[in-house]
Amino acid sequence: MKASSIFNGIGLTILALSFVWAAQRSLRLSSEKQDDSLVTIRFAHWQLEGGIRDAFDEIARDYEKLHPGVHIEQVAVPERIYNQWVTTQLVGGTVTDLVEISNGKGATDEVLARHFIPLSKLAEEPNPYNAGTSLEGVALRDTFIDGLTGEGSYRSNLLEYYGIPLSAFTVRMYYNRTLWRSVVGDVPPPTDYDEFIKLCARIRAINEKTGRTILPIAGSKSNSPVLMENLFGSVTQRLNQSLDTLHNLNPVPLDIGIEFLRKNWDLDTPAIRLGYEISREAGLNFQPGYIQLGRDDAVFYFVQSKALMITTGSWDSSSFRQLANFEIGVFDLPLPDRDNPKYGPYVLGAAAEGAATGLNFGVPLYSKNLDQTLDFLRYLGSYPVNSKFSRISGWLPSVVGVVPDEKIAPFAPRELGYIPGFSPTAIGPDTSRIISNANNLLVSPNGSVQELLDEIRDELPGTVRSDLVRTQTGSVKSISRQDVTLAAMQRMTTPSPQKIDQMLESQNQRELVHAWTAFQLERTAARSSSR
Amino acid sequence: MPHLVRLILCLSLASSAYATDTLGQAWQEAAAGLVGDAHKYFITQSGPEAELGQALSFLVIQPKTNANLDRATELLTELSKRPVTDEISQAARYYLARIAHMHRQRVDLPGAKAIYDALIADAPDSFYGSLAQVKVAMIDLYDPKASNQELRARFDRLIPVAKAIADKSARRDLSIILADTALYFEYGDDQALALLLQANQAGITQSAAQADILVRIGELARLTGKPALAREYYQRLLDTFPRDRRRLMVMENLASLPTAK
Repeated sequence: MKASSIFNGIGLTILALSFVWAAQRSLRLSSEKQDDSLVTIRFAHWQLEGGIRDAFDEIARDYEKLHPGVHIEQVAVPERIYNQWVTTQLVGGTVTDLVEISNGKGATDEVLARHFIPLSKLAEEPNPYNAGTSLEGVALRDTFIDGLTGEGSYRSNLLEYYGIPLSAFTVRMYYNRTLWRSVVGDVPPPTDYDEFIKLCARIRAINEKTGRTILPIAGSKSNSPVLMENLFGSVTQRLNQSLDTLHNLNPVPLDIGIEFLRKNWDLDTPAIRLGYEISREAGLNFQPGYIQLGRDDAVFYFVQSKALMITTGSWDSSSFRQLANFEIGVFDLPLPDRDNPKYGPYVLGAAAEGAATGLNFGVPLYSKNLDQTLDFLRYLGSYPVNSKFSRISGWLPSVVGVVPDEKIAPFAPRELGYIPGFSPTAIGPDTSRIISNANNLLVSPNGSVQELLDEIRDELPGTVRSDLVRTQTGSVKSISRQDVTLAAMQRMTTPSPQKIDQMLESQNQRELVHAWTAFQLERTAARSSSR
Repeated sequence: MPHLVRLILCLSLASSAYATDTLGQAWQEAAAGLVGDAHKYFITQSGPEAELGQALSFLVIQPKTNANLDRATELLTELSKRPVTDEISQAARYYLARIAHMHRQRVDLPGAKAIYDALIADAPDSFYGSLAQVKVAMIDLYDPKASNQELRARFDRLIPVAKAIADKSARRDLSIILADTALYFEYGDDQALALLLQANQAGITQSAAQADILVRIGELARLTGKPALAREYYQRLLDTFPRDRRRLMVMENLASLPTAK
């Protein structure tokens, strides 16, 4: 009885203290808000990786020094709830002045059109914060390594720019330098595929000999396919170019699917078979059953020194350096080159990594301090600030000419390279599903390439077809919407002939691909049913 | 009395200004992708323009039902009865064809083609007439029921049409369609090259499409033995798109060209 009174007392005291704390915080916040002379710019993102918030904080303080009377606040929201958070804030009109809109998060075409400001005018103007740099006087659009062509920046359906990217991303092989030295000695990282496979074999042999259980590569359903698809894509580079009907040097997955229906490649095409052989060779070095594991499991294996290597993107670099209590090294994915005796004849060479940008910020319509917000956005996207952001965050820069810091230099995108090949999984989700379901036949020690091929052979034509039909459905949706947009653009009070022309070009291109795909779907269906 | 007339006049002007303003705003919203909002405006208005807006918004508002498509068809059919020179009538006829061509679950290509053809016959140089020429070309060239000989004959018939079409956008798009068709059906690389050059001259608007056409002209010129032309277009790609992923391949193909004498 006495004990329960004590607990009740403690509970009430905690409750009272919480109330006082909450009340004083609320009062402090409202008094801050009442300070009309202070302009507050808030920006929201979901990047909880190490270093990012520090970088934003430091940049925010710099901006405040440059603009007395302006206060910058960052709001970091967990990725898991980001979409719902943005939607709620947008609908409630309480959204921050800047919102991260990368990877489609928080920003479908409709959300952007309804709630965000098009940045097309801003994109054409020079960025004043680039004054005194090599980008002085250059249109903002051309100061980014992708020319603002990424999905997070430009929306082809809306024909407007909506986001400014602050980073770029590449994929590399990370390794545990400390473990590496203790296991294989002072050996440099592999420079080609054969060296990599020999290294993995050596680790397995050491395990057998010593009873250690070091995994050569930490695998998961999200990490492993990245390595395997890249390996597959390297041995199908020449095949891919042979399927380039339109001569643009860059066939897309739809072309690959159609060329399969037209019988210009199949599972017995040598490059495809070799693609599965190289995938098996690499797949044997992940932990058994890796395809059932999530990304966090693979990260756990790596940072706990249970695995020597892991394949992942530059975005993990800063987190790994914080989480791991060992020295981390990074090397390019060990893909075969033209000199490889087995795979070389099918390879063109290291693939161009282009510039996959991200961490894009957009401006919602309800920004109370629009001019100041746009100014802060220009500041974030300027040469000196992007350089600082990259240095502190450990993420790659997105602005032209910014040299990555020494610790992220190995992630710098390879600008000059060849177009990668393909793996059949790229055709679409149905094809990917049957291959993934049969993956165990490929990567288990008792499995084989032949077993995988036998398993998927009968189903593949059907899944390629259903993937193409799905693509057609999506394309009809876009084309239908463009019909209405086009008429509306035509009838607006002040129509823009340039935009109408762009819309026509875009719609006719889509419709042409749609017509060709429909033609092939029907012709090849008739051919197979008449057999 | 004069006061009453003035008042009625003012009210009627104000109301028409309001209607125009509302319609303008509705079109603006539809152009920005907010078709649901635009639809709410259109259905409160009357007159041919508002009816066109209603019909078009019925094509995409969710859920997309046959009833909505039928209602759009009804409205457009009524509007299409206006004089053939009237722009609203031309738009209505064009979108009736679009419903048959793209919007119905079961497409009716012969039905769409008939409407496009009639529009082209009545208003060949109008905005919608030019658009219809491009769309009908796609139906003709990719008709799975036509024989290969018939498809080739249709292609040949369209070559002079693409050259002569007055509207620059339509000329560009028709030329690209024919170039791609020439490559898909192996009608000849020389033919495809000439058509891509024609399209490029008409003006490509999107930067990705611009990079693509420069590479394609370069490649086709190289493959058909026109090194000077290949060199020109490869170089244009390298100068205009310093970060294109195909640069290395273009540079290698450029270096492989026989040197000019």
